Amino acid sequence: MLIDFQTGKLTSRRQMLLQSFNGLGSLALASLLSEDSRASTLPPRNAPHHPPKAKNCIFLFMSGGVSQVDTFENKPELKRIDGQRMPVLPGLATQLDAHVRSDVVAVGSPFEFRRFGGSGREMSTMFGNLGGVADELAFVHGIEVDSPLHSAATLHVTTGSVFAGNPSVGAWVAYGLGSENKNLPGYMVLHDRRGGPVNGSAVWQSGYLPASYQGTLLRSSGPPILNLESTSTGSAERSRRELDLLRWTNEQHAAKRRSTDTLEARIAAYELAYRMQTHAPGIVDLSDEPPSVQNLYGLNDPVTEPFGRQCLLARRLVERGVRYSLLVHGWENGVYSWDHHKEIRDWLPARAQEVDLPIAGLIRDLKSRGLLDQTLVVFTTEMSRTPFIARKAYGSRMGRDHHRHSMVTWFAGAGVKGGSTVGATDEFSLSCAEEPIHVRDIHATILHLMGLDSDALTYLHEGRHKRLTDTGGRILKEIIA
Amino acid sequence: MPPRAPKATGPARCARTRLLFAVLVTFPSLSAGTEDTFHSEIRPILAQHCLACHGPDSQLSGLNLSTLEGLLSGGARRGPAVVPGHPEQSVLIRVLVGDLTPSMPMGSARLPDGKIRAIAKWIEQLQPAQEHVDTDAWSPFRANDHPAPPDVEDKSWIRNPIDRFILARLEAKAVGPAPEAERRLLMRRIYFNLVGEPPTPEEVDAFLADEGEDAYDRLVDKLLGDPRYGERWGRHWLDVTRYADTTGGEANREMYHIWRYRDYVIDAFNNDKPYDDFVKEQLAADEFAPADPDRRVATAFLRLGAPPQSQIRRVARQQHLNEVTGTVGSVFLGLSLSCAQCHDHKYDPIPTTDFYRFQAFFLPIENINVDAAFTQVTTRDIVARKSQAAEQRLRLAREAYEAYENRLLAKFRSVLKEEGGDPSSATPAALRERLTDAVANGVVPRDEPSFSLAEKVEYIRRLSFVDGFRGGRDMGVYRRQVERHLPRIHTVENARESPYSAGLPVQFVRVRGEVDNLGERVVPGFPSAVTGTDHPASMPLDSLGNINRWRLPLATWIASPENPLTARVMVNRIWHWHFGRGIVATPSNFGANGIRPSHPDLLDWLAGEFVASGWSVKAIHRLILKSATYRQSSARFSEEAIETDPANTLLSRMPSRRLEGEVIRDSILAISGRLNRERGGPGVYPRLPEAMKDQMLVKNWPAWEPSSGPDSRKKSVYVFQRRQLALPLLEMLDAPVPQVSMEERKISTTPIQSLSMLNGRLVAEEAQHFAARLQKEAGQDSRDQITLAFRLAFSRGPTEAELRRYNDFAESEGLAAVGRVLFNANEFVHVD
Repeated sequence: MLIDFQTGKLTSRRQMLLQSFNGLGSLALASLLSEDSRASTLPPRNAPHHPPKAKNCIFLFMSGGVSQVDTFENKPELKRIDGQRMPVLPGLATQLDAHVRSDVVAVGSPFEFRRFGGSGREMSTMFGNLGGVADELAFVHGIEVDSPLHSAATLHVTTGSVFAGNPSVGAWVAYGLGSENKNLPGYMVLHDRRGGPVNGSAVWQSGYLPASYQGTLLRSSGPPILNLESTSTGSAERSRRELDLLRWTNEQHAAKRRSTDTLEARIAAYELAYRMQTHAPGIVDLSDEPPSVQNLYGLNDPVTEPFGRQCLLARRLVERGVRYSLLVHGWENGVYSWDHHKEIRDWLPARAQEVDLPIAGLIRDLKSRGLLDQTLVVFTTEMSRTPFIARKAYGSRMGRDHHRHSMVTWFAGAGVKGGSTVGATDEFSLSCAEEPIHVRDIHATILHLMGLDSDALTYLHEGRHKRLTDTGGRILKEIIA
Repeated sequence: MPPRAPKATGPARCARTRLLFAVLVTFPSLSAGTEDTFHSEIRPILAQHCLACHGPDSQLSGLNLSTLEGLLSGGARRGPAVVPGHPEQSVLIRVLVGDLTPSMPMGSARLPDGKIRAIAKWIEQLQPAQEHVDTDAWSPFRANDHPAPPDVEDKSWIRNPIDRFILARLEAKAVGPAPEAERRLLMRRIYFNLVGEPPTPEEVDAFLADEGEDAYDRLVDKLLGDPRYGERWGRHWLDVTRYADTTGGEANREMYHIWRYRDYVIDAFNNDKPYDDFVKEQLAADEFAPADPDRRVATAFLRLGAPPQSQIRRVARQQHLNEVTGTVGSVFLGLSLSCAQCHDHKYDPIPTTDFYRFQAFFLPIENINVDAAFTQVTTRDIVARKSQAAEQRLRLAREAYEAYENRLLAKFRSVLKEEGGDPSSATPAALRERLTDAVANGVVPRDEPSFSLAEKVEYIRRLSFVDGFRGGRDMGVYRRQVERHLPRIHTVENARESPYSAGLPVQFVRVRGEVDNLGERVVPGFPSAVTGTDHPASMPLDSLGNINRWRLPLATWIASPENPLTARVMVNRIWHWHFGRGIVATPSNFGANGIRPSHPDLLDWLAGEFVASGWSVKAIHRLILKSATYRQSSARFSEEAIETDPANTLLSRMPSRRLEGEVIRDSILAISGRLNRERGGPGVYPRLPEAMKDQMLVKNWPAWEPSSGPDSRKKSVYVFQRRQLALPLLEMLDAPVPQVSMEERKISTTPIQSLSMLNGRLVAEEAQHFAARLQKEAGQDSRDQITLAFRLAFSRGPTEAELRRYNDFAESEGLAAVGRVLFNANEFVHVD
């Protein structure tokens, strides 16, 4: 192994390289080219801190703010007082207390709930397919987010801070663990075909980490990676000839110089890019997936096909050793996201239907292939929604507003205790009823399951050791197997 | 952090914090003897087994075992590697014996017991010497005592005093400097460094033929007078000041006139505006030059932060003030003031009260846009031309929009009829209500079955070009294009109270950084770590006794020769942008947690020269560029240099660096002959890959309406800086749109980056034009074409072998393919 995909840095035999560059170029490249894509024996830039439970993570981000009381948190008491003035509970945060005391009325969920699986997990019937794998899921209730604004909350959940400029969770994982597959980036992003989430690329950026750790967008149609196809050369042979001349030119150049680290890294990166041109199109070519598998993800139905494809691609990325896949469902805010300030009776089931079958299919498929044991699946959104609404807005076309106190997230897969639950909210889902759980606890738990210690995973930036979880971050042991 | 106990105030506290600082910067030294043993016995063991990953070149987990300091300070994960006197507690021993996992060396067999025992025995004998307060230790807060350049042995190498500081350190380590770089390479170095483009073949020939003693010095002076210099160095400053054309955040609104700040910065560098004026204008020009647009525009600096992230007004306000406070501290003073926002700074003597005292200068600040005429002829011309074109576009788009709307209105009437409604209620407003939903920064199609999604998307697309109904929030692409050419600037002012009101802003410490958790009341004041006192700043009062200038006292204090930080921080930034590494390698953090200066006396000497020159940035450039230090080779240097100075902190040679994304893009355009050198004006929009459309919001896609023709080929500093959406090529080459102040550019190398250089639109298109240029200028002989190609790209002719290979290649693959290879070559994107 001569190059770390993520840093482009030579990690071994460096002294030899420095001392005899002339012999090196061709030697290094020959060994690089013959290298099996998974045969790396050296630790990546930063090996795990402890034996990991999960090698990969699929992060399902539902953009817009999923309404917890209509999906995964049944609140019969809220249904009972539907349309009545919200009762005032003791101990609410000042802002929330003031809000509840203003002219708002309770909104019970119009949706039906039932129990699923041996664990008796209660879920809305609009998640009937997911209910079929309920015993794989571990729920976290009553999560506190630092802001009830889309932009801030999305950044909080995806980068650990409400302020822009920080590395995303996937960037931290890529930084901490490197890529398993030298032909692909360690962190890939698949977003909604309708468009990106609020904040755009800030959701998968690398912040103050080097650009090599940012998420790479994988498109579900056309060339899967930007600029993957050469429009100029016209054929693989011609591309190869071009690359051969470039390599020769670069070797001539390096032979006259002493510090050749970055020069060597660039030579290697072009070879990797060339191989990626060969390997990457295969990821999105689903023709080798039998119809039974495609149907498992709902590819045979136009409603479930888009997110189904994202989920199926995520499984294929896991098989290829991609560490972290971020799947975004929902386009900005409004109807095509989970941000339903009105018409929630129509719009929420429409969005749920788009993801219910594909996610259930993903979990079943991972399990049947023995991949669920090494893959962590996280389902989250950026905030919750109010269990109440302004009295004047109450009616059949109403929705729910932003709420930052009782977000629901679930985990499944590697290291997760299926059927377990941690955290709870009060009887109206206004606020957490137990020890507060914070977004940083979710992040600490993800890192922990992936073999990383959130306190120790630091990056020196402007003289400060920065962390994803800043200070603190509790590992949610209750849901760990 | 637990709540803080009440603490001493006044001079007593300051004395304590200063003392604490002096201790912190003093490294515990080790007793004699142990250091010898380290070098003779221990380091060789470490070198054999550990240093490949934890040595000078690669510091996994931040751990460097090659020096005593490294062993004692340890790594990021487990702290100090050795505990003097206690091998059993030392992480180094524990991982070697397998007591801590993962055991080391990673992936290899355990070290022989004898070696582990030798290390353990040495650790046992280590005794930390008594910590002592070293009053001579360099401190960024201490007044500059203007050190004299030291004496050196090899005086023949010295070109100016900088070289004495560098050579004295090298001589102490018995390393010689590298020889002077080859003239051609030296020339490329200063071209890329000063104007961000390679020299033309004619310029190369002229320089190489110029045998005058002072040929190099004359070239330096010439390039410092080249207007491209301001574009190159202005970009550096824009990184530091987090420049962008949009706010970022959810709405990500365009700041229509912010480009005038960008042009202000470029002009300031070109005109060598004295740095003290530059500082004062950015902090407070509205207070001392409110009617001068050319200075007042500088205050846009205070508005460049990403937007606050709260809908609660007073929280948002506090976040805004915190952003400004932290940025001003790190940009001008190299202080991480933000660390003291919630608790006393853990490493620097900055108590929380000082953060809020500093913040108090900004209390009444309000954003405001004011009319401000274009004073430069070129800008006036650009603006006049572009705004006319924009108005024309808007008119045409509006006509097209109305035609489409009429079609939909006809359909709407029949839909209404079918539904039994009143067809006459099919108004444009009702149509919009029916088809679209308004969201934070635009509109999206509505779930509504009687019109197709395609119709709705097309309707919204056309609407996005002309729409004005959201009143300044999202005005439509062509309306925005009209707006951004209006003679206005983004600036600030102080909220004014009625002269009879006592309601001027009052500042409190926010305990633990919590907005509503008010601590002691404070008044504007400078950091006590610098002044040695926490006396209030003297604020100018009006005739009624109210403060009438808030930021000017702060600006004046920062831009004062007596401020020990300001000049040091700026000369260090200049040094950083010349050598790729500052004398303080953390340019925005001079505190205890930053990296100590490699040459403290040189830093102080330069800072003194800077002030003495009248804060002339170009004077510092001249000193640096004309030094022998800067003229060293990056390729030819001794074995001892690598051994003794592996990371090149002593500057025993010139570092070689990959160029920034902007320089690479500009250089490709320069040698294809298509760079548009028009200066200034609103941002331009090079075409984005069509494939990016599906990752963007449809509603905002038209907001990146690609500039056509030469506009798309202006220098990269003029590319519209839209937060959350950067040109892929620039983003891949580590040139993101800043969200926060960036003290340095990273250099990363990835296959994705190679793909955008190999297959991206810019390289593909410009290679064609490059080929056309070669044919036009070198004639039909392909050997002449190749020769010119090399001279343009590498500032040299090809070798015989290169000529042969490239000639054969051009024959089979074409000249454009030659261009693609050269644009991608290391020799093109690296500077020696």
